[in-house]
Amino acid sequence: MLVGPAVAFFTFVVGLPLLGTIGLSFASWTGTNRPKLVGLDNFVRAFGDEVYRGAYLNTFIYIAATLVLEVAVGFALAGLVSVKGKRTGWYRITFFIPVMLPMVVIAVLWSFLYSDDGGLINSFLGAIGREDLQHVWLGDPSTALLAVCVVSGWVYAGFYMAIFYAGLQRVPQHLLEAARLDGASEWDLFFRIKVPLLRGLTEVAVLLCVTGAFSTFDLFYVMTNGGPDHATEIITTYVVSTVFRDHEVGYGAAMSIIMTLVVVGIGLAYARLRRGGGVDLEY
Amino acid sequence: MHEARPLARRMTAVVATVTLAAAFAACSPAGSSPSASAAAPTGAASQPSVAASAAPSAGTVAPSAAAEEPFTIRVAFGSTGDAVDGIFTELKTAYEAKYPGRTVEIIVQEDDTYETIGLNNLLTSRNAPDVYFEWPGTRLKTKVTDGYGADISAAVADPRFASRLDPAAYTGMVIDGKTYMVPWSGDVTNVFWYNKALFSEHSWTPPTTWDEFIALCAASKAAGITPIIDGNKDKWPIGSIASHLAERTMGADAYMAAIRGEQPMNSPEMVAAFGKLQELAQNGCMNKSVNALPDDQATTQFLLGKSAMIGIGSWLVSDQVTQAPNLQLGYFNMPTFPGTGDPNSVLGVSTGFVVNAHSEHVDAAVDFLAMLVAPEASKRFAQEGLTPMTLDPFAGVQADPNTVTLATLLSTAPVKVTPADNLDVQRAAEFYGAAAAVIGGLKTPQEALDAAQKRVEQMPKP
Repeated sequence: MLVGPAVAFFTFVVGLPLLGTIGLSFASWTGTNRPKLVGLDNFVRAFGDEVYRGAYLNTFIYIAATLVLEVAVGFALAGLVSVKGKRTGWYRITFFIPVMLPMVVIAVLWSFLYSDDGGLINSFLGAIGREDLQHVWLGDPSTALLAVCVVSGWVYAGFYMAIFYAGLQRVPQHLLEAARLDGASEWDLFFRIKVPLLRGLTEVAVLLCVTGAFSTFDLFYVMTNGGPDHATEIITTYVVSTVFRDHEVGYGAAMSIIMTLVVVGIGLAYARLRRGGGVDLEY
Repeated sequence: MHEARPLARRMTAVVATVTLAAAFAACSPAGSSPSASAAAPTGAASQPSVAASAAPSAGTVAPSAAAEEPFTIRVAFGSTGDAVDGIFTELKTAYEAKYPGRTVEIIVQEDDTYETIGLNNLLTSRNAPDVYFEWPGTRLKTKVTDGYGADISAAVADPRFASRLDPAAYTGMVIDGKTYMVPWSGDVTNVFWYNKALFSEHSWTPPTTWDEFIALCAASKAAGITPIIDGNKDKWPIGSIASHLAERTMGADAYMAAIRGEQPMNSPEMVAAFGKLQELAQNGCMNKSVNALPDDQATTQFLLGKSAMIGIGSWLVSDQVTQAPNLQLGYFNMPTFPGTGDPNSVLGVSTGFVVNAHSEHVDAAVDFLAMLVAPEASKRFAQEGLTPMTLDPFAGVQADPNTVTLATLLSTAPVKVTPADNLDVQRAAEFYGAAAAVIGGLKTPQEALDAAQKRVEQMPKP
């Protein structure tokens, strides 16, 4: 009885649209015509679509890069700003500021930084005499994806820093003091006590990072729009262009359903790994 | 959508998909969709014509009855700027004064939103527009096929239209002999604009042949000036140039057949056309960042004098007026080269307004369109930098000389070439993608077109 409103709300905003999407994935629909059932055609086409498959590869590269640039760097930053000092508060704020900026603003800002004509990065390289390293960062397939990943890392490292910093504040002081009495160095404290104690938090961060990477869109859309030559095409940009540019709503729905299954599969595998991974370290 | 914040971004992909699903559901025609209704028209054959609607019918209201009962007509379009939007407000006022009891509701959306999802959402909503802006060609044909275009053949024979519009202006707006659109505005989609001061300083002259064009690029490059700048991040700027090159190389019919999927996209002729793009790339004619730069930023760079030329459409004039009013601009059409296409062809596109076949006030909607093409409105649109498709749109108007000559170029062109995305959106996307790959030096013409053709073959048959 008490969960009734929640169930009704969930059904309305999640269940019904999801069912609608599943239904559309078996149809051909432009958005204005009468949907025509096409069976599994959309799914067959998706599996044979090189750009769609490439979008998965790019998404997984993005995930791998962001795990390092966001989660690992965020963890490292949390460790640094946890050190007691006069300015650590300022550092925390500074690292967190990008998280508070609108992503479109960030994307436009970094597009200017990456610009080959007067962009800060190429100008800096020119100033230090390394013109050979100057590049059209967002126009070259070999650098475009990494360039976007760096921006993502710049933004969200601060987000994960905040999460890990909060976790580090909860590490019991008596454990650290006991370790210090036993002669442990600060490195030992960090890697042998703090890191293991933050395992649960790390798992949540990894899950957020992976699922967030699947749903990311704005940064890629504004900075490269999937180009050049699909080098930065990720699943969401491809689905959006398929649905809203090509008006192939049924095909877009099929691709969305496949992506949902992939993400759910990853989530289930992750949960299974966690179950098989032994007992969480509690403190 | 572009302003996702961290928490939103960190939602699971399931939620992201569901969000998309919600969008789909919002677009779903179930229930409210005219096409879902058994009584609704299902194709062109069953569209109510304006002539037929002169008498009361299921789909329309007789003028006399409509005059007694106040009603509202909805007019939808994508914004092309406050000034032009304001003219529609003026039209609304004039229309309501002329037809007491009738009210006009202006529905204006952001241009890209309107083009992608906005119009479709509007048409499938309960309060669908009676009149809506649309592009001719495939998009119009889809709307007509889906039952959203009224046959206005009889209405446009009325002097209110016939005296204002040349029959040639209806190109792409007539399907199976029936007229579904009233022409509104036209644009030359691609010419090469040049900075007159730079050209004068270096004693350069606008090229007429392809060889002169390449030589000009070399001279510009030697002078340390980027010859041509273009912002092809969204692929249509170079795609437009590729469209024109294809028509010049293989003729309009063969070009259009390739884009419509009636002929392979990777024919030797098309490969030859793309060879011209490759020539531009290999001779360093284009800016290195061509595929990374948005078109508006490329425009700004050109207006700042950072390149000698830019390949873009007639709308550059309005940007120049606001961003660099003192800059002197000239333009030249695509230089000529041997080919089976017309050497004087012009790449251009027209736009217009469609009366919704499901409108209960078709006649009133046509009355609004008659005011849209009337001399007063045409003059106002011309004053704001548009090129109305009406006869003598610039008579008595102090318009930019380039705008006027471009309008003449378009209206007198022996062959008007339609950009690929006005012929077939999906195939054009592959065509434009191939052009981007070639201009970026990522693929040879053959490789790029083979890849495009492969993807075209995977598309469902129409």
